[in-house]
Amino acid sequence: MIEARALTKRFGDITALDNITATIRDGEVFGLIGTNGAGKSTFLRCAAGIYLPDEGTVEIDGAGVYENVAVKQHFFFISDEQFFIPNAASAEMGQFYRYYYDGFDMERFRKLLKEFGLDENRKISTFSKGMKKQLSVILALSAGTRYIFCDETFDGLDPVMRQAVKSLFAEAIEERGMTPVIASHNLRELEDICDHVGLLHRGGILLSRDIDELKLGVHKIQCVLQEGMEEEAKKQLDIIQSEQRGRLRLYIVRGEETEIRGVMNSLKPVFYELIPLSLEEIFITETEVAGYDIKKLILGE
Amino acid sequence: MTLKSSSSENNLKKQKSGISFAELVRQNIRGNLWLVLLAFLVMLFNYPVNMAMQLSGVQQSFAHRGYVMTNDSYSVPDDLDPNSFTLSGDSSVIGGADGPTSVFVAEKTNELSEALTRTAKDVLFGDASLIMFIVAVAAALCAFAMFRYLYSRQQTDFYHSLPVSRTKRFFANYVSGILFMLVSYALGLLGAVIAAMFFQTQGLMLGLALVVNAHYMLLFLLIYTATVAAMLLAGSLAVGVLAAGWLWSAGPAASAVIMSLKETHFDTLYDAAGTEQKLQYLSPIKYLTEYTYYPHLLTDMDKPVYMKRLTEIGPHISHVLTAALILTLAGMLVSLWLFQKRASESAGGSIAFRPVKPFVRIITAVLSALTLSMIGTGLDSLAWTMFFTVAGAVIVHAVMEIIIQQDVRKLFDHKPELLITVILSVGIVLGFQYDVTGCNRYVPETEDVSSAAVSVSNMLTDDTGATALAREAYGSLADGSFSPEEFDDYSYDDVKKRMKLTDAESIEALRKAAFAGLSEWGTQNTWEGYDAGEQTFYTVINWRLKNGREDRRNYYLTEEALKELMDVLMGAEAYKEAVYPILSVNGNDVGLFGLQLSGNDRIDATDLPLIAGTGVQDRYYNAGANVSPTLNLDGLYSADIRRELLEALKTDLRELRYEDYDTEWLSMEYAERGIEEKHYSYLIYIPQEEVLAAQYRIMGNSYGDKPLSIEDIGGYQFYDIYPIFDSFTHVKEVLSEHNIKLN
Repeated sequence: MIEARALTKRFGDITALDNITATIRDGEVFGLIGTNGAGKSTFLRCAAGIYLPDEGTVEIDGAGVYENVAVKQHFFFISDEQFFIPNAASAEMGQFYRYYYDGFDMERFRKLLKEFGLDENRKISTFSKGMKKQLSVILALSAGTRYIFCDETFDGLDPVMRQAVKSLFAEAIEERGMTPVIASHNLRELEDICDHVGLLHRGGILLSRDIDELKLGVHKIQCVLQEGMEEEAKKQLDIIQSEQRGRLRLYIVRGEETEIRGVMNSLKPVFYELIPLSLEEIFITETEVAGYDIKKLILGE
Repeated sequence: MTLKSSSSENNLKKQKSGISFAELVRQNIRGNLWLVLLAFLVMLFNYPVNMAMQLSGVQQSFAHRGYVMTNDSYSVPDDLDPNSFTLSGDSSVIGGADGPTSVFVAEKTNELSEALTRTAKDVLFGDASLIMFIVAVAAALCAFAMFRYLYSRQQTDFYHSLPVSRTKRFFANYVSGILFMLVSYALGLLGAVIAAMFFQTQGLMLGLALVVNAHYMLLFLLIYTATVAAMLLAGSLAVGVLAAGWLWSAGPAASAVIMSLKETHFDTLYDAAGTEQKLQYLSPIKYLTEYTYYPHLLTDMDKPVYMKRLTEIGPHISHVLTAALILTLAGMLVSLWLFQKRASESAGGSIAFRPVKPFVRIITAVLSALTLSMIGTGLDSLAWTMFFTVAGAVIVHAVMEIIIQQDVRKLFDHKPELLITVILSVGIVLGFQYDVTGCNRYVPETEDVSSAAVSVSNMLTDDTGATALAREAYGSLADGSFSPEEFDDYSYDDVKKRMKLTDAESIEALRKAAFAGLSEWGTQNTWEGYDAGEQTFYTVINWRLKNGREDRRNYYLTEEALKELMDVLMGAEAYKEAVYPILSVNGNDVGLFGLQLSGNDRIDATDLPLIAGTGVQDRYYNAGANVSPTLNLDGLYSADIRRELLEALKTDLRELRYEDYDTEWLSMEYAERGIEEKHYSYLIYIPQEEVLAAQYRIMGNSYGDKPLSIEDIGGYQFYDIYPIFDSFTHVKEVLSEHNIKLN
């Protein structure tokens, strides 16, 4: 388990992380969302023992990370700007990491390279940006660590590759309980991979929730009601947001699905349907309730 | 996606410590192969290739034809057939029974062997200029190669996220940088020794070569460690290079600035160099330059003069090396601490440690301000001095601010600090300008003085010191340290070094002269006296104090003040012994004499004996001739007569008083002052050490057996000139007894 307690990190006059407390449980896929400059990379670097926190702590299974070689054996950090040994080929990078990580599996590494169509003897300097990201992921998975910290790793991957990487992650999670921590500024990228998301904004955590918990509690109803039933609907439903387009109404309501269906049936609408909400819509709803214009925060609009 | 239930591990499974130290070093070497190859190439060419080239060149120069052509004055055996003779290392005689004489061959073979050995020694440890450059550059390159990753955010993220402790990473990189140089150095030396053995050099003193080169490695370590520390303080390569340059030069720069300020403002200081010289030892390069003077002495350490010099400077060199070792160890620990404390996020910034920033800004700005202030002082204007001081402080502080903050808009970001810098700079300059410490006016109390020395410009002491200088260059005949091969590192004659005035009368006279010099001169325009028609005389007084300190001052004394001083000094034995080192010449070691005649003196040629075959009479002065007449007395006078002349000169010098000491240089405008210009003939004395050394130069490898005349030898380096004053009655008497009558 990774625990950050009152984690604070400053760069001169800028507070990149402000008193962050968060828990990342083993076996879950943790998504760290936020715009540029929110503090995602800083958080990951504190967790990876690159930065020393100014206040607070980051611990993995109760042990501090910074300058702790034994703890560092348990994670692999993939930076947003990857570095490779100059003039090295893929195989050499594998050899390189083999000396650092006791659990590095060369056979698996070679197998994955083949599956992804990467030549192990080709110089990495000739790879495209996407290929370099793929190589980073393959190295990380081959290291056999319990945690992988990915800083905007999925950004820039084509959809096919993204799916392939997600499958590999899923496999690793299933096989050995690996825990990925993935930072991104794109919710859509992480939607179908993360179990838990945390939203960072200006160094602080705005919210941190399980996806299922988020999804279970909020629903979108698209309906056309009988004349005069609108008030009744407002009384009986816990409406967070509503929108009207002619006679068509869109409600985002809080509550259990069966309960909501029961109420709608009692209202005898002309028609209604429950539409699944995307992660983005859930976030927007939740954070607007909190008073933030989430569109600006995560969509950059 | 299904989730595994989170495990509730509280204790980490203990892992192995990960990568080994040896593997880290191996990775560093693999990642910097360019440096390995460069070091290897440089050492290859500096040692074995250089050795082979130089030794084959020496061999070539001993090939017969070349040898004869360039040395046609050498005597070659009559039976030598140039076409059949070749000098080879095995001294074999070519030509059979009628071939070249074996003595000649053996002699030349020995010469070749000596030349080869000397050359090999020079390459291995004698010639310091190139190795000094290599050591300094290699230290910087190795430091940059091993720690430049700290300037890249990418690389810092990469390396610092890996499971390896900072301590291990530091030592792996630190040791790798040393190995690049050490291995190549050792291989290069080994190659040079093998090459030397191939050319059959002998007596290489391999142990000494190893010791000297080990010293160079120590000095490499010092410069390397200091550069590593500088790099750790910086956040980018450009600033790292600047930081290393700053560290290398700040100490010497500070020393030079303080010395310049003293020279500019403190007129009485003869040599502005003082304790501020020790600031130079803040630079690692200083230790290298101090040491490099030393090894070339070792190549000739079998010669007494060189051994003497080695003995003199040996303790200082030991201190330099000990200090280098201590500083290297301390520097390594400081660097380790810096590495451990250095924030990864400082990659790409300017300076990695905040407290360093104001220190660097202030020191650099103050030193620059002090340097620029001397422009104003040169204009003799306080206003301009202050202008340049303030401008220098402000501008340089702003520039440092821009470099550190990497933002032009922040050039005045620390105004209180800038104010302090300006005040400090102005305060220091004014302190020098107005001699706040009283340094310029210092004259020691009599009870503080252990001994003193003085030299006065018009006393012709430069012309009487050759006897001492020759002893310093070749060693003394008297104590058996004489070597005819000149020790080329002697200093110019400084009579103050050998003068030790301890009597109270002399000390008081010097103090009085010093005060007279202060009052006449002060700190303003020194030419006032001259413009007023009063001639002044440059005088240097050297005080040796009881606390071990030496203080040397210079003044311009008026005629009156000089007379007062010299009346006392010319009666002091210690003064005479120092100014006229000929007073200590033993009659058995008497040298040669010459006589240069003035226009007033004539010699009656017919009274002089002729020496068969010498054509002595041709060298006499004839009225109307344009050349300076010089009579070489060695052709006329036997050793006994020369001894007599020596003793007479010594007597006259001992009895010489200031009122007798008149010189045509004393008065600059004879007509205006109503002084009749006087001209003197003078004795030229060539010390016996110089005579023998000159013979050695001509004869090669021999001296003393074949006496040569002044005429034969031609030019000399060392000779004294003694004007034959009116009071030199004993000299005139001896000359007169032997047919030279002077007016």
